[in-house]
Amino acid sequence: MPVNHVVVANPSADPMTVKSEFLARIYLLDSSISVLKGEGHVNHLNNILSTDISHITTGQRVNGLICDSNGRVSDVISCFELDNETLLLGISRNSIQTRDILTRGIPWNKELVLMDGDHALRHLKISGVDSEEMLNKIHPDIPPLAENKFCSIDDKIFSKSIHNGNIVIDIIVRSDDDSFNNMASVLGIDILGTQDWEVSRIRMGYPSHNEANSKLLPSDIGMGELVSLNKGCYPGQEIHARLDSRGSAKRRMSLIRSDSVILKGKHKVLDGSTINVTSSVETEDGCFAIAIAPIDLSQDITIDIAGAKSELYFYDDGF
Amino acid sequence: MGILGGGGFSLPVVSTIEVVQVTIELTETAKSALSASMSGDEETHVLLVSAQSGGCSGFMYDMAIVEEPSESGFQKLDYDGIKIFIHDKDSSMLNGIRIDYKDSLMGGGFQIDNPNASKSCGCGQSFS
Repeated sequence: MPVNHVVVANPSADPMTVKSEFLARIYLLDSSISVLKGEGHVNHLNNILSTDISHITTGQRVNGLICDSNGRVSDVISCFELDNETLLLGISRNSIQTRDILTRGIPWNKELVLMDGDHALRHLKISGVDSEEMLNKIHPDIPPLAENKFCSIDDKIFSKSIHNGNIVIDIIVRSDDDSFNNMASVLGIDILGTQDWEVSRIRMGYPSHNEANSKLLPSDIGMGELVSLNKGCYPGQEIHARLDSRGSAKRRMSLIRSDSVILKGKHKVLDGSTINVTSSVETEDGCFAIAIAPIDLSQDITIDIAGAKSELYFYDDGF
Repeated sequence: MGILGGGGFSLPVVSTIEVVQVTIELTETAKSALSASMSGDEETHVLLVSAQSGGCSGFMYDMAIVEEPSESGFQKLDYDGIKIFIHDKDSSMLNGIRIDYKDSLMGGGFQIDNPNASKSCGCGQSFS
């Protein structure tokens, strides 16, 4: 896994270990789960998402962004195309706004319905270096998973994606079906909660509401690949096209580790530039945080946040 | 049973839609251009103006000359024999719009000026 820039305050730190070289764990997330169905549902979604999903077919998974008219990311969505309906995973704290966007602009002559699946379905996620091995241990019947597709077995959906070089497996199960949890439990594998996921997602650079809140551009949060500049109009397209024509991004998402607490908010670093810490979590290995940093932050700069020495690593690029 | 077959889904998500009595302004040039486009079909056809998700700014306009729809829910406006239909669902977004027509080879055609829009895209076909 490449590390693009390493700013070393503590030369003994191993960036690979700090970023994501941790063993696989399963998390139960509180993601927003919705189902959009009806004739023309893909076209409707395609009008809203930054990603071209017009050719999505049954069994495919496509990740996309919902942006506002200023090009800022307001939600990160995973679309799973079922038979004539799309299952949508989004960030839970953004669900009211996202569902409003998805329903307000339904054309008068289309019978599209958006169902709230938050109580009907559960979203589990496996992340860590041996994610696939863990899944195969729990559910040996699952064939090798391919990216951008999903596999449906025993009324469960399994899907693999790669985020910042890390393999992540999403599992969607019915809320009334405990069989996957039971299989994990028999093997002594605990299902962890959102607090534990916070550590994992920060180390992997997975955006949450703190990053996707209509303040940051796709490239700021490592999601530039989810923008299709040749798909035609979608909310934010004008801004994204202008930024693309003017050159490279100015900011980039980075991981910070420190032995001291890293407070959220803007911090000056020693070269005078500013980083914006959007998420922060304390662990027994120190404090980890996501910061939006200038892309030209040099490698030999010492990051000093509120008097505490910190290490900064740029994540690889998104999905 | 399938992943979606276990029940527990809540009622369809529906956004609250405000319905207002629509008034619009149709310029003389737009009226003339519409008459020319309808070419004598004014009795049976209407101009249907609507809004839907998409465009650079969040919503995009759609204008079409169609046979008078039989569905309910439309507000019907008449401008010297030219009928304009706007669905209740779109009424709050389209109330007060001004429809103009510019006879120009570049950037010409029907144009909508919307006082409800906080932002419009460069081509003028979408708003938020």
